[in-house]
Amino acid sequence: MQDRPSGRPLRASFLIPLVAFLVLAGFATAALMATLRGERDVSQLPSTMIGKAVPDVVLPRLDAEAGDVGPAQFAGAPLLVNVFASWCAPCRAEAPALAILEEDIRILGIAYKDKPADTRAFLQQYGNPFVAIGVDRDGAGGMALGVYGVPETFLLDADGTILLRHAGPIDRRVLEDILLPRIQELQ
Amino acid sequence: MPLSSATRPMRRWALLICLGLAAAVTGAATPANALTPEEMLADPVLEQRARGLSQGLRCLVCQNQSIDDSDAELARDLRTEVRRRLTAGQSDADILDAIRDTYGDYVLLNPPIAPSTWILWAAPAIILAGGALLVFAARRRDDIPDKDSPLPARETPARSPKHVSLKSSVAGRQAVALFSLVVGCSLLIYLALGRADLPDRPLAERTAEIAALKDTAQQDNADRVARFDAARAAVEAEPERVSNWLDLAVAAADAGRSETEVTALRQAMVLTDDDPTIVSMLAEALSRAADGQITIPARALVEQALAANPAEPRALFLYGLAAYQDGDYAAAIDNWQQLQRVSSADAPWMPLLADNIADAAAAGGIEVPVSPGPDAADIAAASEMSTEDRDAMIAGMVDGLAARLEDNPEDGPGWQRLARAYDVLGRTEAAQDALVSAADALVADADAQLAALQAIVAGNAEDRLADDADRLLARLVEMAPARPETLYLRGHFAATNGDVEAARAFWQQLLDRLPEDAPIAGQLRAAIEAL
Amino acid sequence: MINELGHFALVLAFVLSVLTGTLPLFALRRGWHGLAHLAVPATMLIAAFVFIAFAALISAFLASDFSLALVASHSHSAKPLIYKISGTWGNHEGSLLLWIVILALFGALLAMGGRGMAWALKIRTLAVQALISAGFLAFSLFTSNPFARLDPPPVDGRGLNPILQDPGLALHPPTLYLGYVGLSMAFAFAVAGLIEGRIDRDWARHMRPWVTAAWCALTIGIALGSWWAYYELGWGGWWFWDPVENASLMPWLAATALLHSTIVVEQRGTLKSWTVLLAILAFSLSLVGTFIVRSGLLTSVHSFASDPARGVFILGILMVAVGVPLLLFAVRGPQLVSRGDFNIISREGALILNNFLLTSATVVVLVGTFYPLGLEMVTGARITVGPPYFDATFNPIMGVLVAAMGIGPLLAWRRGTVPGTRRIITISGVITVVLGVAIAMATTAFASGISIAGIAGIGLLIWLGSAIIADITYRLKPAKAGVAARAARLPAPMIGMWTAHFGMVVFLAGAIGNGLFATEVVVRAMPGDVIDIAGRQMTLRTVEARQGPNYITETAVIELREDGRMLAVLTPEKRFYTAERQTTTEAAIRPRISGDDYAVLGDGTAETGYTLRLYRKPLVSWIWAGAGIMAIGGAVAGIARARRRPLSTRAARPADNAYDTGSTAENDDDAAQKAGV
Repeated sequence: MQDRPSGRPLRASFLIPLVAFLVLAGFATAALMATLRGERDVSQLPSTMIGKAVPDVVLPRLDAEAGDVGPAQFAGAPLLVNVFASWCAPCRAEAPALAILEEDIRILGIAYKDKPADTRAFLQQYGNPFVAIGVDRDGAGGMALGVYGVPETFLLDADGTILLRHAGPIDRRVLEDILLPRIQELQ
Repeated sequence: MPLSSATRPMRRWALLICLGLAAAVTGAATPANALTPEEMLADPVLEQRARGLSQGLRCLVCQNQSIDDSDAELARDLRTEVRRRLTAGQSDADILDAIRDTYGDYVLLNPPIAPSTWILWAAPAIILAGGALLVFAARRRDDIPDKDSPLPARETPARSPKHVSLKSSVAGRQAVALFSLVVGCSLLIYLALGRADLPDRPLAERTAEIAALKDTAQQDNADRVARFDAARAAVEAEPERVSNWLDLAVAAADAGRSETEVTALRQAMVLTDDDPTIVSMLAEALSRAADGQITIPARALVEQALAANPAEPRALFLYGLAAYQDGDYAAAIDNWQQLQRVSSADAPWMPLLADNIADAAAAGGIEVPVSPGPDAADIAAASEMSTEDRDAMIAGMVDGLAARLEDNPEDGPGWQRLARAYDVLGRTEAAQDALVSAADALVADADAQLAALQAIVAGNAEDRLADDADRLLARLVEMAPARPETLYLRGHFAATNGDVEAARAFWQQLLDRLPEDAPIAGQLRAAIEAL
Repeated sequence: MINELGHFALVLAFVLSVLTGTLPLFALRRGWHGLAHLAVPATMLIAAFVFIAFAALISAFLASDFSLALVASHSHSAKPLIYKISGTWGNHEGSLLLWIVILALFGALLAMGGRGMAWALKIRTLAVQALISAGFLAFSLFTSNPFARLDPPPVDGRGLNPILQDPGLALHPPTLYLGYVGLSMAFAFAVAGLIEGRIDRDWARHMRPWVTAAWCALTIGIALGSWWAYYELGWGGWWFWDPVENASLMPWLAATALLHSTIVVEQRGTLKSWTVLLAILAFSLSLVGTFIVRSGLLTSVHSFASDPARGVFILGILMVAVGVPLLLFAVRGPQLVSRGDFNIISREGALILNNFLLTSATVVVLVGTFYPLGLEMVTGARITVGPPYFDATFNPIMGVLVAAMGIGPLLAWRRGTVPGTRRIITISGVITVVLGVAIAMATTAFASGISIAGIAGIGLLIWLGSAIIADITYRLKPAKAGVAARAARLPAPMIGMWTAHFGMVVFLAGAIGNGLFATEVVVRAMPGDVIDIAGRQMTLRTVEARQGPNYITETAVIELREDGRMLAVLTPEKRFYTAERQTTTEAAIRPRISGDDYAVLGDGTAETGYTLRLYRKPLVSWIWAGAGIMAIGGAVAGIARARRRPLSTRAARPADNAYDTGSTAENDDDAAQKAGV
């Protein structure tokens, strides 16, 4: 070699770029693997309300009867709150999953930014698994829950504490691996 | 240097001249726009704060935009929320906290200072300090002048070695060998990847083809519309005739009009008293209307159809498809294989079915259990044999099948297969017997009864199999009284038994249901005359 | 035929590059010079094959050959010709092929040129470049093949994203890629040098032109992208700290440091390990940028269709292409530490500071960009690191750098300053303070307050500007034969440096002017309304429907007047592209040296009025003008140095005197100055 080699500590510092790169690559690999396995979905944000009481959202009913409905009215037993809309394509795809869930737990529906006539047509075409449906025309109810897209599903325990929030349609994996086990636990 | 909201001084906003603020802008029908004048607050100070806050909040459904810049509806909702809180008198910090409580840290463009972000915020200092340390450490070492170390000798060639020349035989031969290696490997890889069989298709050379395609498409469309109109007219003319409604349904399906199709099928259902075939057609129509998804109402119908006829092909197919859409691939394969068993080998949906089963198997990682009976390989093998060999093979198969069925007479589809085999061999009576056995095994299957009866009629076996025919006909009448075939057969057997009046009555009933110009109508009339 | 020919050519290029990347390195070790020399013609063959493939692809787009899946999904028969051509690289597969074309082109240029270069170094560099090409070719052929076919071909294509149907599209990616790939040459030099175990002044001399070219291209490419975003995305921003933008900024920062560092190695033989590291780093960051855009790992407005499976492949390439050289660096780097007997107050010292600040800035941006990912992997929490973070961390570092830029060129090699430095600094300082205070007070009268950062920014740009002008003035002063003659005798590299540094001043003026003094008016207007903005009046005349080549538009006609005098007619549009069924907003911009007038049309109807967003953006074009000036400066300096007599042919110096003060042009100049010439 041409020049005099350097002392120990300085020599060690030449490893820093490699180490930094390996750390970065490690994160990237972990992220990619998780994405490929289906465990990581960039569009899923963790909810801030896990473990807290559900906000007191009160909305007018969809059914002809006057009056309001909200998660508070269903305290005493576990509840699933499903935020959906007729204009939302993934909501149609999750209808069968909701039909299965309906047998195990009550489902409260929130029609998000939807015209009641459209909501009714949607339910007619795809089935109605809901014990009641609240109409959230302007999205304020959704915002109180931290909804940022449709569909979203919240699992509440008997006290009205939010146990989990799933953003996006309920597919088979979510249904069998996440929702159903939690629901069995509650019962 | 870009300056963000945190450090950017307040912009100078000109006084808003809000002209023509029409009150009636609802915004519900128009797509949301980045900040519209209607959202802006009247108080410029508050509005300025609102803009500042908006520029610090992330649009959650966009890729890396603030809610101030974004077109998304959620962004607009958040902007409105921010302004609402501002007019309610909340402080900037409180508003940010409230929104952060709802949506999490992700919504803040300025990462919070928290234990999870200490490294992030400390990073610049660490980097600068660390770098400075390294530089000084290196410097200190460098300060020692070194007079004693040997200096590097000048290295060899600054130019390419003189003895290198491509013309030199060694290098040349190596080059040739290497080049052949390259071409060889390339050919191998290319053959795996490329499609040398496909020619280029520049647009300019395809004008004729595209014009033809467009013409056919247009023609098809016109045909479809014509058929649809004709069918609708027919229905309006004769609403009692089921076949009209079925024609309308088919034409509507072709024309893409799901609602009409559904209505037509509901009507047909009423007229035929919930005939399972029509029920499953309705289920299919509902699914088509839902972009191919087998909806809950459709599933209910499918179950209803299967209750009435467990071998209804359409219902079985849709049931399997529903399972497939649910991700329950094993159940899907089960149902579809059931459909395979009850179908004849040349049913039009068999290839599609095989594909679907393969898909489900692939998706679910399941091995497809092989169903008994000759499979494609066998059939292919059979077609390659000589006639004698083939006959011998079939005879052997047939005997084997017959033996099996003696032991297991409940296997309806098995009897049907046997019947087909006898047909091929030309053993008509045996075929008829087999069909009768099949019909007895498949008691609830109207088609099986029908097939047997038709075979009896075609083979003039009314006498030999009179009792069986009566039995089968009775079942058929019970299950599907309104079907044209049923009417025809009732008339036929009545005539055979000498009951001319009954025969004429049945056939006349049938004639009434047929369109005027159907070819059968003429024959039927002749037959009635002949009575 | 042509399609498949192109396909086959691509495969040939791949196999050949695999061979060229491995055999010569092996052969050199064994001393088989003949075999090793084959790298030269092989590199040119690779280039030829790749050109054939690219030409085939372009011709397919031109001819609207929809039997190519790529053409069917990204083109349309009704597209204007230029977008048919540029649409070739407006998608993942095509842009990847463009990368490969430029990689091959640069390799070929080195193969044909590289005179006076140590032969072994040249072969090794070509081999490394071929290895990089092989990686990209593999990625293209096996995961993103542009020549995938469709049978039967569809009747028409799906069209090009309307946002991309823009002249900026034709230029932004190619220039950017020229930059990234130029850095690949520097990378190849660095790895070749590490393999060989020799990094010397010749090495630096031959690497420098590539670094200069890459840096200029990258500067222009980034500026084009920023400018394109400014006028195309419709909200007038020009930098968003978007992960993909960061991914192009980081190589640029590293390349800037590399550029300066290379000069030091070439002239003084010192800063070697830093230069090698920067060369590896700059290209590695380019690769990381590619990774981000194509893997869906980070969300960004820029992403191509995100595909995690492709991400795995790229990650693999990254591990090898970045990990191995960094490992080599860790092992052999310590042996490269050069001796430098220079004072801390010297040009070397200033350039070390330069390196240090730029590298720190790069790492800060890297941390900010990847921190959300890291945090998510460790704790599962999701956060956003947005513009506020980068403004708070990156800007101060660059501020210090700008301050240093004023002093750095005034320092001499080894120690001390050129004569008159003290005077220059004093004058600049005074001007800065005076002008700064004046402007601060003047603008305080208008605005309701400028932040510290704003004042600091203005101060810095005045400081740098005056330092440069003072330096130039001082050099021009001893002019016996007249200023022009004196100017002609100034060494071109120095003129290049001043130009480039002055470009920075212009850029800063634009960024700060626009940032501090821009005006925005959002209003709902009916035809006939007059809106006041920044002392001018904009009148909405009408909004009408018009027809374009492949779109229909709603165009607003706005008249801009000042004191009753008509200045211009602005026509912002909302376009609906019929084939792609997408709407885009086209802002109307009136660019002037003093600033831009910018108008955007929102939603509305004739009855309810139209939403208009109107802006006055002072000095905003200076941002891109500044970048252009920087690039010109770099080019001037680069070309000038290339023309100089090469070191090795200078009046023969003993080869062992690698560290002498050397007779560089600058020092000649200084000596002459001292002599009072």
